[in-house]
Amino acid sequence: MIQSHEIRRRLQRTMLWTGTILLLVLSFTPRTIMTPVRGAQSSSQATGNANAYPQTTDNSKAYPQSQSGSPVYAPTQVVPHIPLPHERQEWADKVRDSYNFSILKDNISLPGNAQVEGGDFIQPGAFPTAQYCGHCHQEAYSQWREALHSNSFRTPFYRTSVNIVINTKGIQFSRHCDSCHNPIAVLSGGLTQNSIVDRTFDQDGLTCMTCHSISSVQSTLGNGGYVMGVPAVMTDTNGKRIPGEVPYADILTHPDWHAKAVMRPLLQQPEFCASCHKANLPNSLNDYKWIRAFTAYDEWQNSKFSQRNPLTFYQADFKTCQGCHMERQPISLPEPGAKHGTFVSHRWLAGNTASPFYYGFDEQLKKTIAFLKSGNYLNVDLFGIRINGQQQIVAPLGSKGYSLKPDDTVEVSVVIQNKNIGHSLIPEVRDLYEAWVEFEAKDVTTGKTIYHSGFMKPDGSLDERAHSFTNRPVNEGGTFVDNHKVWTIHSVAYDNTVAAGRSVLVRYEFKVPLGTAHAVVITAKVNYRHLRRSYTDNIFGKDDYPDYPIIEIAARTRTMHIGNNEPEPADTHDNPEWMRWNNLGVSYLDQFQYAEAIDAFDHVIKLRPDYADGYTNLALTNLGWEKFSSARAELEKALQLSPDNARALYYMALIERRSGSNKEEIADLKKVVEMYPDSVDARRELGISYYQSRNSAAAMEQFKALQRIDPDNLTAHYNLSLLYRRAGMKNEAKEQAALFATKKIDPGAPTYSSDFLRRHPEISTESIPWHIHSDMRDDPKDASLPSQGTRDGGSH
Amino acid sequence: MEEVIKVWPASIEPLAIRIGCVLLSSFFLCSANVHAQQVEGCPWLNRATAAGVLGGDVRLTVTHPEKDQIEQINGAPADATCEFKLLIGTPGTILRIAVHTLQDHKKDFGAYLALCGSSGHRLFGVGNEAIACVVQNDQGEVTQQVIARVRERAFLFTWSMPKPKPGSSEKDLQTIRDKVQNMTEQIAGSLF
Repeated sequence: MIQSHEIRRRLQRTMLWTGTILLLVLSFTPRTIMTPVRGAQSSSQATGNANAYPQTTDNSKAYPQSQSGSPVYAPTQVVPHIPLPHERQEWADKVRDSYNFSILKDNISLPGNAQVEGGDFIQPGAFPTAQYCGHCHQEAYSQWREALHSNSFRTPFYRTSVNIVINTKGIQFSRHCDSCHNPIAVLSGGLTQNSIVDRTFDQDGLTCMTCHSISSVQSTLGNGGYVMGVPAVMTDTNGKRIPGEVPYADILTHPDWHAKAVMRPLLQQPEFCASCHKANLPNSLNDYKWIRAFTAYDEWQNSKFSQRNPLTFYQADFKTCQGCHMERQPISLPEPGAKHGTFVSHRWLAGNTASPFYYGFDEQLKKTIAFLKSGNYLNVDLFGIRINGQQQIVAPLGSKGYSLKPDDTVEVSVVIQNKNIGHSLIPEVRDLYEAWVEFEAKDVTTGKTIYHSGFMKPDGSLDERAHSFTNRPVNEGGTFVDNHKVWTIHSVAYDNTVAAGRSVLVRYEFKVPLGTAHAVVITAKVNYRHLRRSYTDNIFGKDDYPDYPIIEIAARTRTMHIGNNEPEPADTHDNPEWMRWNNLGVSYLDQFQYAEAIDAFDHVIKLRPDYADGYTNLALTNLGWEKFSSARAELEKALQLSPDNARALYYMALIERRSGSNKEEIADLKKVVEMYPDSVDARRELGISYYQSRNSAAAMEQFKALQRIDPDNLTAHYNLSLLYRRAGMKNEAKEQAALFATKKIDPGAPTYSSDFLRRHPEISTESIPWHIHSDMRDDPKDASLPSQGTRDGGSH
Repeated sequence: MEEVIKVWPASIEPLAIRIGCVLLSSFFLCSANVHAQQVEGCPWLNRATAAGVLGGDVRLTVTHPEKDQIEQINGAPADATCEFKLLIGTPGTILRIAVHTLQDHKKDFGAYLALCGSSGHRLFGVGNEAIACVVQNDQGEVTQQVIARVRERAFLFTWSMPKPKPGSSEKDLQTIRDKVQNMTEQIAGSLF
């Protein structure tokens, strides 16, 4: 195991290098580039997009078809101002008279990114109402009414946060949130002081004709990065859109024209979701700097379900956001959009139990709970135990026998795998959502709890020392931003999420009481609560509301008998043994415990000698451990088993780079890019390889492609700024340098986190990967010590 | 005798005096009504929304209580009463929102709830708790009333309207109920 001082040394070295690189950037960057962060943001926003994508207004160009015929997402921009129909022009002029543009003249949504065709305010009445659509689409309407999208604005959970923005910073700043939560309010010009907009539409949040009118997505920057089309439910014979509501009879006569108007292929694309399920805090909102908020879309893109990332630990069939959250279900009400008695769910089932609980939407609540419990999303593995600090772990539990007696000290290794979620556990606003591990050891005979972690306290809040998958954003005073005042966030002191497909190892320790007669039963669960107690306290007032639901997503129980324990058959939900070891290896790898990771992956190889990824996992560990020759040998073995294995080729390229084999490095990465053209990592590394081989044109091409996939990518901003400058493209270079400057992490930010961690030892302990949860070590500092079994097993 | 020098023609004199009086009285009126005119808009429901619901232009009056205001957290607007009066169309149509901060809501809110008596029914989705009822006076005028609470703040929503026309359908009544739900949701939403 790597000792903590070694990790510190490595961190210090990394920081030193980062600092040096930043200094170099600062030294070589013209002053004009580094100046005003606000100006930098504005210059990009003035064109409507941070990236110089070609302007596209023709929808046929915006949605190129792939060879297979499925639509392909292509970023687009809106033409700022075009002549508008009289009624809309009149409305826009009227709104503009008193509209507080605040940040940038003529940009109606900043600090949000929402745009509308025509580039000017649109009457709220231009959007046909949900009731209008619901006349025929009864199933869709009834589902939508209970779903999060229809309640995106009105819920207390949202209003409490947005009201703070409105009351402390001004309503114009709420456009940042409402670009997604209430697009009609933003685009009609309702979010200004003394607005003239009738807000009865607030009740419908994201109404049918907001999603079904979006004509394109500007990029995957998020923050409402869509372009709203002028709502139309019909086209004419020539395919020209007819704005507004039309008589039902017309729709029934030409349902194909109706479908053409409202069912754009973009609706089925994950990038459609990205426009809102990805967010950042721009400096125009926080007067500080650009900060990433959440990236559910990027997380999906990095997951096995996107099939765009060659580096995932496991593979799966392609599945989009809609594939999970809009699954076809049988209908119970008339629905013209149904096929064979089923209809894509307009409930968008996910984790939110709070809204249906508040509104009394029992059906939505029931289905949400069922969704969370279904799908084999998580795997909880009571993987192994160490008894009395023995070096040898008894693992995997169930496969190995052992003996237990009273007064033994037991350390349990629990491996939680984010198995089938297409994003992190937990996604998005993890300062508000709460998922955690509840672990309990009980005396079977007496029912008495021996040890319990992750319990609910009498006031309804979670045990502070629970292993939670939340985060802790902090402000410049180092205080937790408890009430989602996102514009005050300066740093994230702790973020304990589990990325899609990865696993985490959580350790618990307890002593078997002397009087234990028969057995101890241990249970580990992953629970979820939407929302954290202190946040609902902010909303409703302390002790003034019913308890919000806590859902057990996954759990595993095992009985440990006093005396001998024989191997037992696996449970149907248990992973196969090789996968159990593999997940353990992944967990150790993420905890920088390379020797243990190697041991775990060795078990995988023994159980599955034909498994190429097993060797790649060993190589990946050795790469982290800087044992390059071992890594090379393992990758060669992986490639022998699977010659075009993109994952192995990718890591092999990194080794070749280190050994100066630039040609081989580029050849391998090119192969990976050919197989995975939307791989962020492969594009980045190939760009770097070309850059290092002084092939500026090829490097530029890769970084531009990278930027199309991930418009916030720092490597792309940085390198493009240099490459553009060399190519004499001064303005482009300036823009990229400015974007790099505003998006890079504030080197001072960790000090805010340190302040918080110093005051919160329980979180400080949690932030150290190899901590142990125990009542036997009352001092939190002790809990952060390596486990007894591994203390002497140092890797160095 | 010294002649008085007039600075304006005699024909203008009465007019000037009248203008002076109007300005002077306006000043006093404005001063007396300073509380009523402090806030231009209603913090919890904008004029356009009220006008849309009532079906025509409205006049908005915002008044603040005389007593010391309890300071609200996070810059939330202080207690006030907003009154939207329909200017043209059905006379007697008034929508009023009165927001009060309670010292001890567990004790004090009961008195508010009593305003609906036993006829109140629970409204979902409005504040921490809300009840709605319909009050009819001797003249047959109807008031839609909602009493609700958001944390420690109570609000009383009343929508007075003339006697319903004979033969009003259930659909008409439902439309009114939907509008009440929508507006009170907005008010509660703004108070959260």
